[in-house]
Amino acid sequence: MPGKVNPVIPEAVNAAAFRVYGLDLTVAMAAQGGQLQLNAFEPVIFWSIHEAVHLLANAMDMLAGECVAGIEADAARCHENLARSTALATALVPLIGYARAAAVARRAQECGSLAQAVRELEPAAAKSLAVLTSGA
Amino acid sequence: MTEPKATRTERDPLGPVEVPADRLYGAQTERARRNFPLTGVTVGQMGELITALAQVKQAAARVNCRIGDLPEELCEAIATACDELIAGRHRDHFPVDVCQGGAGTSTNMNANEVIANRADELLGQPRGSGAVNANDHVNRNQSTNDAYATAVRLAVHALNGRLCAALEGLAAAMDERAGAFAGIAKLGRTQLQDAVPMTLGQEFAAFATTLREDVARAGETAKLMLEVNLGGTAIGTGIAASPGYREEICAELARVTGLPVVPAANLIEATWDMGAFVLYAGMLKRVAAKLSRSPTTCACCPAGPRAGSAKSACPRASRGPR
Repeated sequence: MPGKVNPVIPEAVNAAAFRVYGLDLTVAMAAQGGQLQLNAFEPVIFWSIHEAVHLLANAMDMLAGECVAGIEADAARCHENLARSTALATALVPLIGYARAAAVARRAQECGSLAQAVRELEPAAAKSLAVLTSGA
Repeated sequence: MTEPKATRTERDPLGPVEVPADRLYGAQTERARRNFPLTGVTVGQMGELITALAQVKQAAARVNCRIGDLPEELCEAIATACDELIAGRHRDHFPVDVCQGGAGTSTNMNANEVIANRADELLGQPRGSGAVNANDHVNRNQSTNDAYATAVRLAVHALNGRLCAALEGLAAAMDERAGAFAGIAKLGRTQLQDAVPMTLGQEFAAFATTLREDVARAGETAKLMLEVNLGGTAIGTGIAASPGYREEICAELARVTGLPVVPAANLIEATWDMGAFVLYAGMLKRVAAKLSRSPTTCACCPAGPRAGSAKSACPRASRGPR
């Protein structure tokens, strides 16, 4: 699939986590498997914790260095997604109540713009919405 | 001219065993090496455990010398051999498999034999001469059930340092990006549906916070590892330990490790109780669950790049199979 890129670093973190769950179960079973005055399964308990700690620590180093440190935000896309959404309708609830805010959101979904829907249905609230979105 | 022998004969209560001449371990280690051909991963690869065993053996030698159970010359040789192990030497002389039967006896005897044979050398004696005996000198006043058990707890405490360093490192990386993304508004989502606005900076700062919470919780759990059963010998009653040994050994171990090691309130309970390990493994599961939670990982990458709601790019993480 030319051009396809996959989130392989996060996937490797997932894989490490799945293994840690198994090691945790191993520790629990070994702990309950002890009999009378001793638990003879301490070696498998330590082996499991040792593996889990190194897996997690290596996974976190990898995630920090190979993924988080390289992340760039697509600010325009973020803004576009927000502007096209009905997310800000919730901010109108204290001003006009839940039912009227829901009507604004429904209208926004039809016309593609929350700002336009507010102007049409709740012109008195338009100014407040402008204040809310200016920070966005 | 004859070639130097490739093996030397070591003995244990079951009889003589040939071991490679260039190895520091003895008969019981060689038997265990043959008994457990399971993972190919050796206890020598678990450096935290070898260091902790050496610390326990060194503390025991010092107390044994003080109470008259060990001649000073032997104590110094044992202590020096332990220092070498703590410094990371001789790890390839620990060939016992990490998957083994017994409550750690094979690993404990591996440590006793390596230390005894190295101490022999330090005294100018050939390996296996018996000048320093693995059982009667290095393991004096101990049992696997208290010496190994104590070393395991110290090793988990050390491992927690590695875990917390990684948690702090990832939290710092999240915080750095949180600062860079402070002014970028985005859609917050619940149940994968558009919800209410937030900033990308807020999202990343929350990741950093949750990781730092785990540093604190892991530290609390790891503290439980400093309660040990050393001095209890086989089942916590202290059988076969000399008078005076039990009273001093934990304080000496604290001196050797620089950690506030204390004896458990009830050494009989502490010999079989694995509760602290269950808690710590649960703590690791908690870290894994947070780390694997999809926003922490998948939200780092665009779902797309055209489909889905791409909001950030992660070029270095996005290499597919080649």
